[in-house]
Amino acid sequence: MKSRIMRGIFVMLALPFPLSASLGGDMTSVQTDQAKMQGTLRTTSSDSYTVHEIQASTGVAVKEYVSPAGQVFAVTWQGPFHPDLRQLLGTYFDQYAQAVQAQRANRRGHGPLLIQQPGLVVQMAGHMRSFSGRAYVPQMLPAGIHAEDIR
Amino acid sequence: MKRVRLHGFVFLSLAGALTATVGCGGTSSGSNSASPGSISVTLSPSSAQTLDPGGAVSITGAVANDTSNRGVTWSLSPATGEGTLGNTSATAVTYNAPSSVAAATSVTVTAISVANTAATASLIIDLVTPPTISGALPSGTVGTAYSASVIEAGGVAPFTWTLAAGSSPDGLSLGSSTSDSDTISGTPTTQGTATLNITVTDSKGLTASNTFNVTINPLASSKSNVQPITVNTGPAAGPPYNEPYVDGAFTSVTVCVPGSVTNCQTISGILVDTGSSGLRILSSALTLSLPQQTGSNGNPIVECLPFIESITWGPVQTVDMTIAGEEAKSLPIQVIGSPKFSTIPDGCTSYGVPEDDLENLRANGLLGVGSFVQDCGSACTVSGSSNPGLYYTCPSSGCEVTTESLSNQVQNPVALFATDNNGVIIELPPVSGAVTSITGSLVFGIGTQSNNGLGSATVYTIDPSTGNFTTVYGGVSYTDASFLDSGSNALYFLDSNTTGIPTCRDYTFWYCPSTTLNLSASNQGTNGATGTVDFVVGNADTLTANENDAAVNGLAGPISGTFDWGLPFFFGRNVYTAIEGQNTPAGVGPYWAY
Repeated sequence: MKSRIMRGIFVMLALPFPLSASLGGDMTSVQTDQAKMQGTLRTTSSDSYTVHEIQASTGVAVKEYVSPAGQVFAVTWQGPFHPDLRQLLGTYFDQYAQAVQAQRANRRGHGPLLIQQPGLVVQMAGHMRSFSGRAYVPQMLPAGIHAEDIR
Repeated sequence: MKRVRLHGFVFLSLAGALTATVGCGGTSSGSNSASPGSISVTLSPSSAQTLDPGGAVSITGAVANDTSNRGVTWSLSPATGEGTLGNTSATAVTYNAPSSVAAATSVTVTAISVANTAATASLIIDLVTPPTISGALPSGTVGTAYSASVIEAGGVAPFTWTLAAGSSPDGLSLGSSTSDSDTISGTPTTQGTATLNITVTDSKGLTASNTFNVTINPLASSKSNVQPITVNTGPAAGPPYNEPYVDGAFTSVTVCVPGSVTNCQTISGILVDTGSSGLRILSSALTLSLPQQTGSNGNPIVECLPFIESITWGPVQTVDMTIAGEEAKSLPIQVIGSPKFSTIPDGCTSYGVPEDDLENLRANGLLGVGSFVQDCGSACTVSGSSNPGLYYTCPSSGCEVTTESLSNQVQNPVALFATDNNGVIIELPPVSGAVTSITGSLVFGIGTQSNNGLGSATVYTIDPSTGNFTTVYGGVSYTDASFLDSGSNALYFLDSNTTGIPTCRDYTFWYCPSTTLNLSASNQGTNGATGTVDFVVGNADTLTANENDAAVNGLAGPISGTFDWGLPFFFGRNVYTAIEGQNTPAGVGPYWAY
């Protein structure tokens, strides 16, 4: 599913079937749950990673960052509603939910979410009709990739 | 008051008693206690009489033990000026009142036994003025119960009160009193002047009329359109939760069972949120039993509303909401955490972590007064994969995503107001550092009253689909990705590794610079309006050290990809939020202005 041409040049492919992945999962394990988003997909690649961008029918744009080894090391989303976080965060969903609960006791109100744990970073922001977020596993970032590259 | 006067003695009569009497030396007596053989005089009528001008009363006098039947002689006091005696005989007389009376007075008719001039009896006759109605009635208000008294003077009771044909009382009516006052009551329906032509008739047939013009004020003049708001630690600050809010603006709302004005409840501790739309109330804060919205299949409608990292789950119910005299009738609201719907579908918890009680929400509810009319909008009105799944229909077991029409969706109550429905202003005083609390106003309407004009505020139109505008900070443009949000409790912007501002050691979601930073950013509306905003970022550990300090300027934290102007932005400003599609003096919403 990847097209690699030249270093530093991204190529976009229109794929005829949906594809999706969960954070921490691999490409082969996740092709079954894509149907839920029922959106269009485009893929851009570089030597360092591949981005699968899914435009879900709800208007939510999801990007999945896949390492050369085929591992989903980051996900981002943006749109009027939320994506299915249980699906998108996969095995990290429970860790995320527990971190949200733990942080509530300290944040003394409402605002964006910033979870910065050694094994999981989650940022969520926005307001009604406009939400965005990103999640990544720091240890999985391919060499040379920085958090700022995940947008 | 009726009186009996006799030989210089004045008695107060309890029940119209009478009179009779006596001279001196034990030779006289009352009619009921006369001893055999003594002469006494009895009059009929025996109790005091009241006469209108021109009236007359016939009096008979009987003398007990008057063996020679010599009868009585009659006298009038005062002898002249207050009527005359006529048809005089030894047993009867007629008193004729004068044709006019300047002021209420009384006369006394006395009968003296011819056989024994020491035996006498007297009758008091009160002369009254004709009935009159004067005075004025206070003004009323459309929709507000009215009650006032009309009072007559003069005349002879009992009275008959009538509201003349041709009056235009506008919902007001006259009572059925027979005394010297009656009541005008009812609920006016139309502003203007209500005309009431009222006639009173006394028992003798004399009448008096007067026309009263009652000013009925419009409903608007009775509304303040200003609702107090307070930045304080909120309803979860005390035991058992001890969860004090920081930088949250709270107010109260009154909700009623639709159509009822008595089955109501005022709930405080409601967070004012321009970042959402719709009223949401914790089930635990509600004592009312509200009507449940149902779907076409008759099953309850329950909503899953995603916030940033959390969701609220609960049934959609209907209220009449009142705030600052403004009313949103038949308003669909979300009741959060209802025990009737305790099982949250996986599809909902996949959107966030529930905030379904006071400990987690730290508020008794949310008053969403943002730029959107509905919380979901058109996406929820259609079935299929494009429906985001915010509304569910819940039969006895299991819930399924359903469609929800725009009018049935939980929505901005302001948009349902009869007037002042095009937006809100949040007005808060400036804050320096951290203070215990501040008070301000939530003003309804933009340019609809003398107190909510735009003045010199700059209008920044916003993207109608995202509700965002653009902020440029640190050389980075957050295009169509920044927003004003009274429901965020700090300013949130950028990554700490981008701004260079260190985050706090424990509370990594806030900044902790060693000294207070004076920063500036630029906001830009979709209409091209731009303006610089100066703001401060302080040390959150220091600023929040005292948990009793609820209003904190300088509280900020990191987030990437957006610029979230939370409540500290509102300090020292009047911030206007215009609702989508609503006309204002500065054009159609949505926009922000400050």
